[in-house]
Amino acid sequence: MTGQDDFFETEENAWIALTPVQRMETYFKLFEFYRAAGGSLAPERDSQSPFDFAEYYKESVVL
Amino acid sequence: MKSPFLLIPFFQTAYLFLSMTTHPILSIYHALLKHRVRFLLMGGQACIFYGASEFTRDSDFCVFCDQNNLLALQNALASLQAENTFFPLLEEKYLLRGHACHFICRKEGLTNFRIDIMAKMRNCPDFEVLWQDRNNFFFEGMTIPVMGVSHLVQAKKTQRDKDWPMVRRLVEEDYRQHRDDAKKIDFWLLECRTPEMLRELVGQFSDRIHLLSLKRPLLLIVNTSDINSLEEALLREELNERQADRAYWEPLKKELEQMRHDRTR
Repeated sequence: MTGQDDFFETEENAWIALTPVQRMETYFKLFEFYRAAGGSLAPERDSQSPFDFAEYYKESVVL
Repeated sequence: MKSPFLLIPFFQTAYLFLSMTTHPILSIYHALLKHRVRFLLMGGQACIFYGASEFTRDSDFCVFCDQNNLLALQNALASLQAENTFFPLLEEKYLLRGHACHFICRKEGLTNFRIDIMAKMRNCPDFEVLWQDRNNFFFEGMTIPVMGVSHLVQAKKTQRDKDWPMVRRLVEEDYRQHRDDAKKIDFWLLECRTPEMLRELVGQFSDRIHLLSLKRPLLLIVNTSDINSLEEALLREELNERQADRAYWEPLKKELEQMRHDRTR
């Protein structure tokens, strides 16, 4: 039988070892880095999304 | 003299006010709480709380859908300078049909940050049931209500590739963190997404298999199938869900297209 940790990835182990608060704090730091590096907040094009309309991906308001 | 406990709401409010600038994304939760919106955090940020995701570029909320709550929500969104974008408008009739309402924030620090609002998701019960099943997370002086993991899993069973790794991780992390919680056994058996985990669970909880196989026939073949066959069976389950999600969205997409058409006329 497979041991409990055999189907968990190592990287996931490190992430899950954090508390929910620590994960959110880390996420906020990642988010700030992402923004500082020029990362866009527009959704990625996704042909499988129900909202796969050109206007949806723009960073301007259409309504 | 008044009990010091009566002062707790005052201190909570003061803390909320003082801490609202700690991170721009927190100001979204703060605005919803300040305006007393009945909401549940869902989507990527909820997955981060549960340990199933590391990053997301937007906030997704499920809200209770009535006039008063939507008014409170509109006030909260106005305080974030969030503008309704794409379709449809934030209205009860659209939310109750299953549409998502999309917003883009213009407030400094949150410029272009997206907020998606829903009230009804495929496979999920009414808000009151979702609310009872929520988990509260305490963060920076706020109590943030997060959609329960079993409902989050249902909401993530979409037609999109990118949501399925989240489903797997949500179930696995829940199993790892709560493996002594007998109330969760059925959830794990019904929702786990890898052959290895299926085998371990079926081995441990064989007394539940017969009953649960009425909902998930796959459970009956776990002990007699090799890994490849189980993977194929899991994939068939996933494809069925994705097909059901496409069918669910088909009429809603037609409505969105009609709204676009009406706007351009």
